[in-house]
Amino acid sequence: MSGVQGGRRMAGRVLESRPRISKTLAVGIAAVVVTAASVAGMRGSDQGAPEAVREAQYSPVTSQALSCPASFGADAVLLVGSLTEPGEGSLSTRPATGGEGTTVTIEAGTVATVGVGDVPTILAGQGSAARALLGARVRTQGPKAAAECTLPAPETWFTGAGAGGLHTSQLVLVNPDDGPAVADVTAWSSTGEVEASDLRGVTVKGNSRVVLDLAELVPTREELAVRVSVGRGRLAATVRDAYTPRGGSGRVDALQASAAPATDLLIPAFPRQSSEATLVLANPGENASRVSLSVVGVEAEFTPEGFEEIQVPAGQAVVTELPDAVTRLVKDEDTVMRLVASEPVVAGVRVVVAGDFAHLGAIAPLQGEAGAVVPHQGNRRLVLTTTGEATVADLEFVGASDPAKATGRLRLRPGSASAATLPAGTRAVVVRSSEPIVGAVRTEEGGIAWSPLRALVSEKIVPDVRPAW
Amino acid sequence: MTVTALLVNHDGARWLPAVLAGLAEQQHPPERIVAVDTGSTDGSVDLLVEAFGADRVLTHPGSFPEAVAHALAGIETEWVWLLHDDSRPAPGALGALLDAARRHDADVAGPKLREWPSLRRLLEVGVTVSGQGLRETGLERGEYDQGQHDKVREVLAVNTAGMLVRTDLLVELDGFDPQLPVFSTDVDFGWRVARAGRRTIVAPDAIVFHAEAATRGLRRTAATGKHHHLAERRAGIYTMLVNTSGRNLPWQWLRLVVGSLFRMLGMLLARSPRAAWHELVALLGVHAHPGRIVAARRARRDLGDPRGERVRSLLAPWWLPIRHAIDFVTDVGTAVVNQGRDAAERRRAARLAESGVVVHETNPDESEELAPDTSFLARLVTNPRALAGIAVFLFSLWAAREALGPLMGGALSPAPDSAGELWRLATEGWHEVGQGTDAPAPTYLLPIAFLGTLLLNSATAAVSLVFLVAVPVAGWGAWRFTRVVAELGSGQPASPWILAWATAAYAAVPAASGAWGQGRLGFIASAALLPWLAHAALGLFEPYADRRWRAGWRTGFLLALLTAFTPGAWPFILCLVLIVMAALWSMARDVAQRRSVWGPIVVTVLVPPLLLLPGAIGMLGHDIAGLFLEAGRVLAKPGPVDLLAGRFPEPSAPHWTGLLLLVPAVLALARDRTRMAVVGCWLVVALASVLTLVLSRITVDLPAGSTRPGLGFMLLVISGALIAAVAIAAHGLLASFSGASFSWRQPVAGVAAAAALVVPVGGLGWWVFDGDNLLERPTDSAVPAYMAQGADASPGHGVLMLEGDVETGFTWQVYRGDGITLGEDEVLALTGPDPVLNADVAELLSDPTPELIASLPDRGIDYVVLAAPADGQVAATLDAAPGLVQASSTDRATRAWQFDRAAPDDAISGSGPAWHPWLVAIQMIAFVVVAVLCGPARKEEAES
Repeated sequence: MSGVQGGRRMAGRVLESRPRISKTLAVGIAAVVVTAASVAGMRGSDQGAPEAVREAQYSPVTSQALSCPASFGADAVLLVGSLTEPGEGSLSTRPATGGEGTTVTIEAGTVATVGVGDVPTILAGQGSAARALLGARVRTQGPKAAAECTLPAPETWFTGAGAGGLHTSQLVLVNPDDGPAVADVTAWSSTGEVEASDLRGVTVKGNSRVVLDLAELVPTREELAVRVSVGRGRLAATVRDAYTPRGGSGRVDALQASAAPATDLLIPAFPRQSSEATLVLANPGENASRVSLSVVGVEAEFTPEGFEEIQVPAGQAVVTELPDAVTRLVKDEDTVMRLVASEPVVAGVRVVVAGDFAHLGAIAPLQGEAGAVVPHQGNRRLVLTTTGEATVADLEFVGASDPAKATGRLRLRPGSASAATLPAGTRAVVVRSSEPIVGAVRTEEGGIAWSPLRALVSEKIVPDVRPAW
Repeated sequence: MTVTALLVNHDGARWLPAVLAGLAEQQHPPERIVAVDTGSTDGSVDLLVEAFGADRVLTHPGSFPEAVAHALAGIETEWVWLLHDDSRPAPGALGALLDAARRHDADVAGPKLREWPSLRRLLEVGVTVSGQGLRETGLERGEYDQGQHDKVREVLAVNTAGMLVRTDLLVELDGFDPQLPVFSTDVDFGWRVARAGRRTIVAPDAIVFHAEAATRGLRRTAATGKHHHLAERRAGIYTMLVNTSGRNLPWQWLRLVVGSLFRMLGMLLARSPRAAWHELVALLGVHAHPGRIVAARRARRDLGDPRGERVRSLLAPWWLPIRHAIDFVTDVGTAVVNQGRDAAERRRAARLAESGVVVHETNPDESEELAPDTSFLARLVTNPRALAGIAVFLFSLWAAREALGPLMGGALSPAPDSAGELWRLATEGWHEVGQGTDAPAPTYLLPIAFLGTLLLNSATAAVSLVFLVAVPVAGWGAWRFTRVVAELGSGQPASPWILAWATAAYAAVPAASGAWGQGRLGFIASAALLPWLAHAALGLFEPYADRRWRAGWRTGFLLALLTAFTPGAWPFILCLVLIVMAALWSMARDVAQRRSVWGPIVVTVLVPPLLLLPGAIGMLGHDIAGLFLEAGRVLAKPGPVDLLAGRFPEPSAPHWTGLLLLVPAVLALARDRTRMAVVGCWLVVALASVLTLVLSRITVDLPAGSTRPGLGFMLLVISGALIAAVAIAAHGLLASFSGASFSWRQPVAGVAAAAALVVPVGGLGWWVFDGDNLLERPTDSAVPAYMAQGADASPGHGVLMLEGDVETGFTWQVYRGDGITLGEDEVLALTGPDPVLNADVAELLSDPTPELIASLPDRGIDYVVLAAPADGQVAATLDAAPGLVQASSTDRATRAWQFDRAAPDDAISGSGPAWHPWLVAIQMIAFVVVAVLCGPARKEEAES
């Protein structure tokens, strides 16, 4: 039956097959065209549309606490200050081991000595005095020594700590808050990560400190790299270092924190003359790293002749004396040592000058305001380099005897080091730069001290916050 | 034993000749016959005068009781035999009555009443009354007289038609109550007889045929009024109130009122609003004249105990109304089932008629008796189509097996613990989520909650069920709809193969579009419902007005459901309706002007706003833009190619498998035989595209952020319409080629068919074999168990959840109850963010002051949780904050703090808008009313 129908229909179609388009078909085609046009005109999918940038805001910091280490000699003083404009605020000190606070009066923008005795001290700034807070313990006589006050940080690295023999280090963890804090301490030696259960989950009660003697906990004759990772609460970590240079007598100084693992590391203000120069590298990663070394001088960057790349196996530290090829290069000018690694590493150098030692750590580039409290006397050289574009850094020498010399400018070029001598009376240096810089003050004369420039924290970060949807 | 036959007449000319004949045929003729006419105008008086002589015919305008009272004065015989003008006694009636009365020592005797004119069916063999004042005969409706009730027994009352009563008793009891002119006259009288210690029996050997002219509404007199049901109820209630004992009166009154209200409800559910109205009027009418009841009770005071043991045994048992209610529900259920069967039968008959097979009209009674002697199972296993359907169903269940169990992911939030919580969210005006809000809850929660209640109060089961059956239900609906439109559109019987293709292609839409795997609950529910809606909408073109109305309500109900899940449905249908109405207006104005034509269509469009009322009005108070949001969390919207391919952005089936559908769909326009229907489909596609264009250009700025209107419904409509176009055009295609010479047409058709085949195969294949999706089992949240427990105990105890880091920003939400569950996303999206709390959270993360930390518990926050990986800086800040104590968390990377002070229990309690409960009540009533109006009709009237 359908065949017959089909035949009829075919016949009908032949009759109707005129070139004219029927009305219905015209409507149908119009519908298709409208569909196509509408779909073509609609907005595309919003999948993968970039999220609106939600940058954090900054606002002036109104409360900050620095942890200053205990003294390392009767002649050491604590120098502190808030290097900012005058305003409403107050500074106070209190022992890190708990106890009443004492208000101290220091004019804004200056650094002064506070008498707190030989105890680790919390320097708390409130209001405007919380801004650009900095401080350090420095020896006023004898061998040079400087131990910076530090802000609590979630992670702190130390490179070149000792744990036995002629070199011993004490890790001091200070909790400035009321609640408990917990930290994991990890140490790497040339044989790999050092196992020590006592270093895991170190709990520091509120307003107290814990001193970890590495020679007791992880005894080894080798230099260590140490990471302090704070899991709970806030902790300020410092290392008090005792070392007896070859053929010398025992000295005490601070082991300044070094930058977190990175592939490009800069160690500024290398001494021109040193009897020992021990480089400590550590690779906390899972791949071996090759580290090459160069010296950034005033004019150019040099690669020491005959110096081969240092292999740093994964999860291990490497301790090596810097060869003559390197020390020769630094002899004539102020230099920054540069280490380029294939995998992130931490680095530090222990130098011995005139029977005194100092630890130089790699410093992460920082932008804006940076500063350091420096020892009173000696031959003090500020060495800077930039990791960004060429720029001019404004220098401020706080406490300079000659007001005319209280400020200065230093032209910075990438790939070269710039240096300036600190005028007499200078107690602290402030460097302002629009480009990322790395810098430190080297103090020589009967010893050596090294004071890295640290960021002056005047603003707090206020993260963008919004309700989840 | 002397008897006077008393015949009361009122316009009984129609029956009177037979009644008179019956009287004349009596084997035991009455000694005297008296007729009373109550004012007839139809010439029946002449018939009476002719039969009995003028002196035997009295005239007394008034009611039946008055007529009897009037005639009683002149009656001197021992007995009176009452007859109506529509009751014909069988020849032996009076003799049997007298015999029984004598033998059983009765004072009142009544005959067995049989239906007139059928003569076989029983009407009454004595009556009693239920607690509701309803006449109870104890017989089934239409029960045939097979001698099953032929036993003389004592009863409460007998009908006045054929009642043999002692004259002295009538006089003693003052005759019949004039307040009961027609209905309940006999019951009241019998009750009084029983109270007086006298005896009423029914003598089944005496037979009287009764037309029940008044009860059936064949006779309208001043006494019955226009509405016999109203008069009957009024009489029933009156009878109960005047005869009940004083001690029982309050209880009986309460029972009558409550019972009447229940009856009204039942009548409304049965779509008999008029009867319900009468019920109400009767109840109020009786109460309007308390004096009458007091007087009547006083008159009966001296009779015996109305609830004496003997009387009580004659009354109907207390449970009888309940049995009637159960019978009624069963009847309605049967009617609904039969209605579906009727519709199927009708279509089958129509198909057979079209194909030329003669359909024999069968008597429905007979067909029921001659139903095929095969069980449902036997028919099922012998039907290959049914077997294939079951196989496909099982296959799709297997493919969706992931939905067996709790689900979340993509757009889907986990279901709450119970359906009760969904009900609460859906009906309450104030939600204790976030910081407490009166933002409206999404309406789709109602059907999900309803489903969950049916599934033993499990919300999880309801969500899982939707995900399990959405695909097969969509396919089933597509099968039904396509079968009708393909036949209508192509004029040919639907081909099972093409139907199977359309079913598979449409069933693939919710799965292959990626909606299933992306947890787009709204889309898949709408996909399952859309073909059913389209099928229901076809009813708008039925020839019967009643069916059109029903289709209108049904379509409106389904549209409301669809709109709740995918709000784009309503504006789309509105536009479509406007276009269709405009076309109808321009082409057939007289048809379009008929109320039964435009009415159902208007109903379709108006029902959704009514049913979605609280949400819609609540939205006005918040953000009207929220009406555009689809169910669930906001996910990516489809782009142009996505839309044509019927796909959402990834993860979904490969786009090309969907785009191939366009090839046959465009080519379908080339077939002139089916062009009209195909163009119709394309017009739907074009309308959906235009609306998509408009919607895609809108940005919805909600308090919580900006988004765009959901396009899910448009995508669904486009896919569905394209499939329908192809299915229609494919009919008869093969046949048109047979016998035709080979040309370019065959290869083109072959390519189109191949492309069409890829669509369902590719889509379903991707779903089954690749099935990349975002669904997962709800996992333990970052909130530690002890905190979740505390939060669950009282909504005032919240956990501030923070995610993100300083560099990219943080998002926060307050975890309450059992977390963000189904439907709460939308509530939160509509809730204006608490700017103060937001600023406080920012401050908490950067510089928490003691004052701030002291204030947060008052806002219902007990804990702060920084989700893994916790930002070190913020964690350190919070660690240092005074007033916050570190709390244990689920893992090392997550950080948590507890406030020194616990939050008060009522920290975020509040009250919703005052009008909200009223709206919910209206909504619920509207749901019931619409559901009732969707139900089967009582009778179908073809439109003239």
